[in-house]
Amino acid sequence: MASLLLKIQDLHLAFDLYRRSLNVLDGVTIAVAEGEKVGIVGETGCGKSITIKAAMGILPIPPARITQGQIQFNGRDLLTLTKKEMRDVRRREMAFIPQDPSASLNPVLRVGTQLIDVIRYSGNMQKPLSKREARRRAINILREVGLPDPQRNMRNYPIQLSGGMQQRVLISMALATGAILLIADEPSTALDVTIQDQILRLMRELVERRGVSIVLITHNLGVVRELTDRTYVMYAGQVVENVKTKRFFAEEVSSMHPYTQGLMESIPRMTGEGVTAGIRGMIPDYADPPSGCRFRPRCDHAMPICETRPPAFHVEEDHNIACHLYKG
Amino acid sequence: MRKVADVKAVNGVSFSIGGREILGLVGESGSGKSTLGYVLIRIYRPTSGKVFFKGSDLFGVRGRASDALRKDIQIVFQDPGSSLNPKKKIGQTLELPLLVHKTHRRKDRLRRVMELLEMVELPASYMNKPPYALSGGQKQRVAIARALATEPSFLLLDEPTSALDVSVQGKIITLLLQLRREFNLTYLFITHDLSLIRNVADRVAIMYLGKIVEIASAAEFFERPLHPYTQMLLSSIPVLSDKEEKLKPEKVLSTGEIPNPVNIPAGCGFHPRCHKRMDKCSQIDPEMIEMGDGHAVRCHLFANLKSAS
Repeated sequence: MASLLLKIQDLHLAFDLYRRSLNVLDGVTIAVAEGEKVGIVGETGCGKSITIKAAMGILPIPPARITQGQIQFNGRDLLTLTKKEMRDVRRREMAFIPQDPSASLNPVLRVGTQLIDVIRYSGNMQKPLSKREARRRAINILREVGLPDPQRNMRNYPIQLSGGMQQRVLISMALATGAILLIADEPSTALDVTIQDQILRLMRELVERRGVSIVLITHNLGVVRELTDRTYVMYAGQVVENVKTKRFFAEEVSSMHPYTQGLMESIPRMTGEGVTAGIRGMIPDYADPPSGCRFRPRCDHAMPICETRPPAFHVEEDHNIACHLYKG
Repeated sequence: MRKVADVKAVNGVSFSIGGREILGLVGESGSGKSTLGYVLIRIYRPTSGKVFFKGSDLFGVRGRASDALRKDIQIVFQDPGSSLNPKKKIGQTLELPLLVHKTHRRKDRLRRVMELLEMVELPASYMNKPPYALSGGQKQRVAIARALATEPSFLLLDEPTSALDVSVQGKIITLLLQLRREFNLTYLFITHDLSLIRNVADRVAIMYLGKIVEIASAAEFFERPLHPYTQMLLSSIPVLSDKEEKLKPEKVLSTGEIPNPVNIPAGCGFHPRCHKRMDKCSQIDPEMIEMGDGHAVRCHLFANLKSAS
């Protein structure tokens, strides 16, 4: 197996508010190998973006507070780095592809200018690359991400590009730094399905060509199936299931975590079996999460033990489920 | 202001919806599906063409008949976070249509508001809450209740669940289907989610650049998609199982993007992206061709088939 690039180990994170604190992440463990494509799925508010922001060191501390756990990246312990060292990690080794491309580009600068700046300062901050060389590289990289007519489009402002083209520009910025880890937060949610297909294809090609790793955050299980090697399902600040994507989608729904089951059954299918009523109840209050298993109040299979003991991971042939149903 | 260009957002669209039917209107952003919907609730006036609702011309009526139509045709918007007034309590929001249309006396209005909340399965106490105290799904329930306040027979649902999580989407769809049975409602369901529409609609129409390019019953539409654009769309959907993968048409590699509606390509609007384009596609805009069983498609590929048979 390829060596590990990113390892988030037993991460606990809280947000301190005026009088109380929210225990948002509760023992999250996620591992990403070199060249691996990892998907983190879950609904709004389940902690997937917080996890990844913690790994990138971009959560404001305070109010955020990491109470326990480790984050290893490329052979270093990120939690022990200084702010400046962490900035360098983000500048050179990690790249972030956000959900809404139009909100992430500067609206008053031409996209070419923005990309060229990234390229110039991606190496030594004191000795930026020449503008000429940076421009040459920018054109190559835009060609690589499939932006039509790069020379002309570089002179455009973000508003003149479509959502799909803006997303291509952002991906090109991520690549320009030579990052080895791409973190994509719902990269295709704002796009139409045919454009989403193109962007996913592009990301897959980049992994193959450049050997980068991808962490994909999404609520769309279909996208996870299309793109990733491994799937993590998160609920209420915990990883509840972790399994190879191929195996995950080949399995019967009944052998999954009850939350995952609910999620899978909520999704309308092409086979036209109708729509189920979804999962009852709502995500818990993080100030006072349920004791034991956090999914218990919404679970149809809840047992007495679920109230008293948080479930440990049950591992069977590399299928990890945190649920009391699966034991022995 | 200087007029720079005409945008033909919706161009030569004809279709009909039967009573108690759910017609799914599908298309990518910029295809004109919402514009078309907004014409039906008279937010926009068509530059040409007519819309008939229960036999009367939507844009030909005045006065009282016009008010009656407004009562009968209602809308549920996509984002309940911005379609509910943040400064009004839920009760006030639900009362407004009753006041505007003078349907209930003062003492009956409270009862009607409670009735509406019950219809969408919310406790009556919610009328004293402001929108921010509600979750996204609950807000959408309020928006549905507001649409039902005037006892309409036709609802325009403009992406009613795309701002919601999938586990909440199921609840809202179940509610909508139940309300349709209970009150004999007709829905025009606008969405870009094809898997969802497969499970909700009786018939599906697909739009591209302001035109309907294919229309068929839901089952037929997914089993026998004819238009190359429909095939590209269906084959681009990320699905969850091999079983669904088999239902998808043969992979049509998605290329290009929907053009700016200011500059619609000559001939068929889809030809620059089409994998089956022919010479005449860039010159002549195809007509809608009836393929039987209410399945119609706007594509030159089927013109010859039709004349031969």
